[in-house]
Amino acid sequence: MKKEWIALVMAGGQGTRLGFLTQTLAKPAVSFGGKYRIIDFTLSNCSHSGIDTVGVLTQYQPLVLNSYIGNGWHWDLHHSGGGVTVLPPYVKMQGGEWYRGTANAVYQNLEFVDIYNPDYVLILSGDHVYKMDYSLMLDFHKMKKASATVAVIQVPWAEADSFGIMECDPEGKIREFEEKPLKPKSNLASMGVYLFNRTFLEEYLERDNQDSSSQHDFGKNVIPAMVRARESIYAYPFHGYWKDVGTIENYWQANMDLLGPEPLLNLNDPEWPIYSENPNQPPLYLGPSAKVTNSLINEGCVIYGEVDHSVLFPAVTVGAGAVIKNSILMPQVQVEPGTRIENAIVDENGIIYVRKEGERIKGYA
Amino acid sequence: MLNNVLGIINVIENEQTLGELTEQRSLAAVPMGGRYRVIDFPLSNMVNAGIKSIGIFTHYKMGSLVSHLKNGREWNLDTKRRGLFFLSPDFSKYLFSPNKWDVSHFTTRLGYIKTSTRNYVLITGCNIICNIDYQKVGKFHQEKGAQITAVYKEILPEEKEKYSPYLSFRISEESRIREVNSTPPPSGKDNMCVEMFFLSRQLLLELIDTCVKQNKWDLVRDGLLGNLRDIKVYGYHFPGYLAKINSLSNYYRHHMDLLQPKVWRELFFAAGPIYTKAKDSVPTKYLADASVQNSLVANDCIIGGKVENSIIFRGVKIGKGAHIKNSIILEKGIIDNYSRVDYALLDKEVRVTKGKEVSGTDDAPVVIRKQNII
Repeated sequence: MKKEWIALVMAGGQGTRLGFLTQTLAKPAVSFGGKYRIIDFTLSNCSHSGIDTVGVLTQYQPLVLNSYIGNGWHWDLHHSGGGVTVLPPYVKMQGGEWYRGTANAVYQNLEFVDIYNPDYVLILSGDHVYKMDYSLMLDFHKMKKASATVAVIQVPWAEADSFGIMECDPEGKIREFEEKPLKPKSNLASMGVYLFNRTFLEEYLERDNQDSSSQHDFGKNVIPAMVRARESIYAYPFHGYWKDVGTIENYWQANMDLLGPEPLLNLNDPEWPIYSENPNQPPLYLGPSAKVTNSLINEGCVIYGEVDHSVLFPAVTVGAGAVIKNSILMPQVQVEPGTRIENAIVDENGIIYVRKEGERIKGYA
Repeated sequence: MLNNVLGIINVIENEQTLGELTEQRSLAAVPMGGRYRVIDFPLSNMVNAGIKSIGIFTHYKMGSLVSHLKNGREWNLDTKRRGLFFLSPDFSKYLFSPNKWDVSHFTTRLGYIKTSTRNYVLITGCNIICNIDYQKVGKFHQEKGAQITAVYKEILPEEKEKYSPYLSFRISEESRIREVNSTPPPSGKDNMCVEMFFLSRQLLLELIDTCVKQNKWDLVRDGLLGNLRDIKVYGYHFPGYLAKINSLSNYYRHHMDLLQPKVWRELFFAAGPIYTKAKDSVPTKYLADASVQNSLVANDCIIGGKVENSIIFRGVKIGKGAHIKNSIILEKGIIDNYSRVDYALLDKEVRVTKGKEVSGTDDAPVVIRKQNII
């Protein structure tokens, strides 16, 4: 069945910098924002952008992620003739191998792409938090008659050395692409969102596969090779909230960015809801002594204590006299009466990550 | 598990009793408990017991009910075999009886009951809110060697009024139902029929047939409970929390009951979860000046004011300085800054504008119609 475009979501990353959060699951499956998993953002974006065929490339600890994705029902992506397909590494006639980088992962799944015979292939990361209409990027790509388009966002100059940085001409054509440059020439960072003409992509992936010195990574190898060859590669400027939640600090910050009357990332957007699994929990109960301010709290919680500037997932209980501040409590966490938790991330196994220097707090679970 | 049972939920309830709340929806679709609708309780109870084939006897004003249940996916009833079935009345063929247990409601849907391959039937009404384990009812039925098992609830003398009208059972020590009365005994405790009946499908068909032949019209009084001498009818006592949604004051009182954590826990978790339509709602946001005590709050709300002893449904926005007490705010209500709401029941999408006050009394909470602006 012919499709105009399809999306491939990179979801195989281990996310080592997220520590205990990714011990047993892939980074895209990490819980976020009191309800979601990180991949909900990318899949909801696909759904709202009119993409009905999505491949999710998994590798590291895929169990939770695979079962979560299911048939794509949560994101209205359960189509016949498309929908979501989970794509793990597999054994071929000539043997099999693990994915050796993002580009290699796509290369190994070109057969999947061929099934849908698309004109364009959108490559996405499953571990970024943002709301983006990819169809506008497609319009831009067509208007520029580009071979490839890379979505970019302005980042603070001080942080530019931790991104893939683009230097463009006034038309938006990319002149130079540097991964984590020591001396950044611009502050336009790649968001890890790439749109390719399909045949162009296949050609470069074939070439990359032959190159034994390549790490087979889009950001490190494939895009720079395209830019070096002066191909028609454009930067599509994105304005809005975008965060790579690859470190604990960024993860914590992105959760806190949801709080307040005018949050940096607004989830209460009827035009662009973030779809997710809906845990079936009753409304939360706030007891006579509860005090809850500046927080995001899901259903199923029972709260007798004090919660300020925090994010609580479903079915968390907070006993009387307990104080929770600047923290993230994962599903089912039980906080005993009188406990104090500050600047921490606590999961259901009682593992606590404390953000700032300080005493490690005892967890109850 | 009761996978050999056909579930029938009869939603033909008397809708006059809930006044404004049922002007545009059937009783089965009345919002409940912050994020549910009435039908979620009887339906989830059946599903939790393993019943996989459920027919709903529908009525007038079915729009919101059908859109709520759709194909039954949230109840895992969207299966290839069996699953959820809406049995609509054929208004062209018979005079529609307002009596929920009129035999005609069954004769017009006889094909569904006849063609079922399940051996047993569980028939319930729709205005009882509880979390009951029907597997225990099935087990009781087998152990007693009953032909029909009717669930009842022992009620206190002071509860008789709020539950009326109901059928009162006189029950023997062996749990056999000996007598049925429409008027409760003048003093003492009573056994209230809660309109849940378990019997073989074959017997149900025979009883319907007998009623029709003898020109009798009430399936419960004349059929199921019409021959206590020859048919072994046993009473199963349900000891748990139960509310009957047959008046606005019961509806209000039931919601206030939910503020007791014991009731909350039992009703939403006892024999299994209560399922409802998923809405992809965001966790509720509490702003800097929020102050919420002794209340239930569903998702998708933004709370900037003070809330006490209240039930806040999904998608409600409460402005800064607003004060809500002893009230029920249904979905998508908007309470603007500095307004006050006390002893009130606000239907969906009501807006209380800045500085306005809505207040009733404990005995007579004020009810505001859907989409009204105060």
